[in-house]
Amino acid sequence: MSEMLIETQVAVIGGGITGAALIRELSKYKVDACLLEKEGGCGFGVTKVCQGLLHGGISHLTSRTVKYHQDMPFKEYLLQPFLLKENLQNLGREEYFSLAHTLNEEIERPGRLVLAEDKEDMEMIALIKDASEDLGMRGISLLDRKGIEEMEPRVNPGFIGGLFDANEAVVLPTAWAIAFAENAEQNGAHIYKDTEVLDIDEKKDHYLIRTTNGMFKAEYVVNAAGLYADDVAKMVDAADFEITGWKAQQLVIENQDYTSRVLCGTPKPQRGRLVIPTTHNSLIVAHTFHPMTHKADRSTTKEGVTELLTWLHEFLPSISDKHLISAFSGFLTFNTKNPNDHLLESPKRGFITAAVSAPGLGPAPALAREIVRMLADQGLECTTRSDFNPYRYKAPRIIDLPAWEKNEKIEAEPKYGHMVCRCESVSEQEIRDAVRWGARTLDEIKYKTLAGFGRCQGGFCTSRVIKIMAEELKVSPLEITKNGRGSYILTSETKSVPEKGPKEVSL
Amino acid sequence: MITHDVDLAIIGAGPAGMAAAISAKEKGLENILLLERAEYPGGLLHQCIHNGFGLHYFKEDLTGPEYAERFTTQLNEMDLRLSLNTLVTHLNPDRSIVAINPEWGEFEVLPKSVVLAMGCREKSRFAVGIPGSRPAGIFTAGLAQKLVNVDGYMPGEEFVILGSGDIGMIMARRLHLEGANVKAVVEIMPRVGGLVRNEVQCLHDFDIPLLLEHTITEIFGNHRVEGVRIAGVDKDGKVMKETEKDVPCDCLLLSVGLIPENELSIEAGIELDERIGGPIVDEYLQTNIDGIFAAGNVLQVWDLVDNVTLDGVKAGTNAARFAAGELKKQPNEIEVIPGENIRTITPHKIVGSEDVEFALRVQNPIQNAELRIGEKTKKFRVLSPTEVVTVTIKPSEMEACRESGKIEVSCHERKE
Amino acid sequence: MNKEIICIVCPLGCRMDVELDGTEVMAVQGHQCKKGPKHAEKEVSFPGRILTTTIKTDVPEMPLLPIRSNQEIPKDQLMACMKEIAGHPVKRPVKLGEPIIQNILGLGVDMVACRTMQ
Repeated sequence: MSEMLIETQVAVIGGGITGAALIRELSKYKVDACLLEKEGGCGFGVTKVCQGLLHGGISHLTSRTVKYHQDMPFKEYLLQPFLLKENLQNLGREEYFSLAHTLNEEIERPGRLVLAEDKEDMEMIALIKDASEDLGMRGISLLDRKGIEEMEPRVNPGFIGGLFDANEAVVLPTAWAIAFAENAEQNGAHIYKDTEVLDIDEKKDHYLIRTTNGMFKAEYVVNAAGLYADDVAKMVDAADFEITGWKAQQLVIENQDYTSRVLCGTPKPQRGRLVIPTTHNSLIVAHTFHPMTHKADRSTTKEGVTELLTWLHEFLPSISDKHLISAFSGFLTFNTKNPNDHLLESPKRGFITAAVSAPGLGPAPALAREIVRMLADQGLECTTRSDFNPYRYKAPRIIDLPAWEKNEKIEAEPKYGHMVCRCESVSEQEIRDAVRWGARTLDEIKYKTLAGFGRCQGGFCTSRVIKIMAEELKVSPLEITKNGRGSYILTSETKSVPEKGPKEVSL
Repeated sequence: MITHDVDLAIIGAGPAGMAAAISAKEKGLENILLLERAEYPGGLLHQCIHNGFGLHYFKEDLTGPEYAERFTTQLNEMDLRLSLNTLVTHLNPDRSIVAINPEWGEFEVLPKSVVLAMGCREKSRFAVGIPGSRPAGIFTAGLAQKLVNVDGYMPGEEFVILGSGDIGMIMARRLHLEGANVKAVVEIMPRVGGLVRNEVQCLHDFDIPLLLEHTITEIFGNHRVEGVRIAGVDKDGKVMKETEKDVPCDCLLLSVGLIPENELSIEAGIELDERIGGPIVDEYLQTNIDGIFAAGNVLQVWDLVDNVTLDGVKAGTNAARFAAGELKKQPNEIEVIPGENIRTITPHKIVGSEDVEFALRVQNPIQNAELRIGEKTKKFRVLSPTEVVTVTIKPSEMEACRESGKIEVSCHERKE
Repeated sequence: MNKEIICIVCPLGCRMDVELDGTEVMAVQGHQCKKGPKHAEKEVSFPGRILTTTIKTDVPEMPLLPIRSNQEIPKDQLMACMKEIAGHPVKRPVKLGEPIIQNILGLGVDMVACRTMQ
């Protein structure tokens, strides 16, 4: 490999939601910054497999109850000061709503309904409601059985009441990571994909970062490597922590009007029961708790899937397993140094570690600002750019436009009327637009356009999308990958496979 | 927005839709519009380049493309209107249709009758719940078939195929012929899912290992498939851990079944048979919405394209008769009750007083079988769940059932 | 010598035990009707198959043309035929049924087009 050397002021390691939000934040200033991402696109690590909830509001209080040990009155316990991550989350969640306009990405506010099974649960949610009032939270209400029925008629009639937080919001996290990164790129930041950091050499006034895609020389380094933040910290001998956590299996199922709210049980240790309506007509059923044995292990198990389906039926008895679309594993990570909160520190001059503890999605925009402040404190000159353009171009989804607008677009470019993904109704031109705006892999196309997201999971459109991408990029279809390095889709043209070796399997 | 007023709109121009169009035209319907999402008519026939098509309908052994061309030629000769690259996005209970294509943009079709001929789709990996990582290199057999036979690309070099449905076995042969190494076809049942003919001519002919009563318990690989774990199952279908074995491969094909494609039907309020996934129909292939008919794999997944064509003929003919007011309904409906050893059966109800053709699939293989349909019995040397059988009953043979409003169908072993 | 042959005439799929003397069928067991031995006879004397495959074209929108053999090809010659076909790109136009490769490998069989290519 040719060892090109790229010089930059700030290198951000990791293009998950944190790194992507950060590179966009940095692009507001006259700072030379680049993002190093090991996958073929941004947001394909832990970000891709998180649930898309922005949390905040009563979710802090409910998650606190799990750790309550009766050493102080319950309400007093709930009203303890916010942690860093909780503060950032409350700020970050509302920020997503204004960003939705400028970044042109989807967000929905379905609200969160905590369901109570028995009297004990009812007492607990009443206390949480009480505490939320003391904290000045709005949009929180207690519901009885009838209230639940009116709100979500298909919820199991066994639940006797609930607590509703109207503020809870959901996004498609990978799409947002892509959006942040694209807007940063528009504003002059550099995004290096398929770029895995191998080691970091600490020099007197800079760092030399060796990657699978050349050398980078940076004055400042931000470690936003998520699951691998400890490995990166190790490279500069600053790892007095480890990243560990739970493997969380989840399901995706078609949402045929089952619920439009986030449903969850009352908090209990190791029971992350959640049903989350996504922004694109499906439900995520989350999640199991399995100890994380290996960071690359994203496997799901039969037992996990069965367990999740059982929960799902407890919430929504009428749902049919037939509508199951997929199963995947995410991670609930935490750092061992400060397990309850984010680890935000600068162990060395010019080196910042942002090791996020779950959930990391909601706080990302606020955390990004916090990191820039830290960089400025360490001497990075942050002069605002007058030409910063907060608006990210994204071709509209044709199918969502009113008929007259659809037809205007199709008349100008007939390829907008040629639907290649039938499940999500995505047109040929939308795929071409996505490639023109930076998508290079099948997965990036999927998250930018939704092609391949639906019930057939790409069975119909994959061959068509590959062909269009190859045309647009002027490469052979053999070069198109699912998600960067090594994830090739096609192996050769037909009629050109070499002679077969001997059959070696005996079963 | 452009609006098309038509006598008959057909959704899907595969074998069912093409046959429906031709038959309706022959029956005198003039204004027919075929809506097809692909860039050519014929549906999946183009990628099914193997032979075995038309043995019943044409009494000839044709390949998929040859079978398709017989119909596409006829469509041209009869001047039937075909709208390609057209995705139907909505079907409403009043039969109105919203669709989109490059030429007309979003447009509306107001048909007097509709034939649903959307076909079926393949179950994906998650519909069968195989655990493991999610690398590149997992394809449904049908997608692989399109890549290899139409686009000209190989999706891998060393294959394991899960499921011994016909497409899975046919792809095993195809890949072998194209030089790939097919390491195993894995089937959880004690028999192949597809036709015996394909077991012999696709697997035995080329010494491709067939592992019956086996399944895949895990998929390996980070970026690309690197292997799968195969294990035997016991009589209850439970995995026997001690038999697990890892097989390196770079590609996994899934041939684990087909599902009728009925999202549009559901939107329109058409009632479905949960077991087969297709609309509930009467003997005219009419759904619970008057003037909407269903034909081919959208109704039930057939083994032979010949049956799909026959469905299309029936639906097209009846759509024309509907337009002419010829479809008569008797005051008393007869409900069809699937009894012992019947997995699926169509039609679901009998409304008229004409000959009724039943199409059914048995639950378990049965030799010296006797099929009972109401009072009538019919003998078969063998009935197998892998093949749909059709039986025609005369109205006179159902007289007794008309009073009870029920006709039971069951299958038994013959006592000599 | 004995050989197992599965009858493919009907879905019953009888597994037949066939006793052979060279390429002559001496006895057949395990069949349930008279079609079985007939099938066994054919499988032993001339184990041939229709070959269906594709051939490369010079048409970008249709990179492959489906083709088939117009008669059965001996089973042991199928792979050799595939190799032969791989080296023969075809030019448009092609009519349905038109011979694309005549007398392939001198077997007296033609590979013919399965569709029209304008």
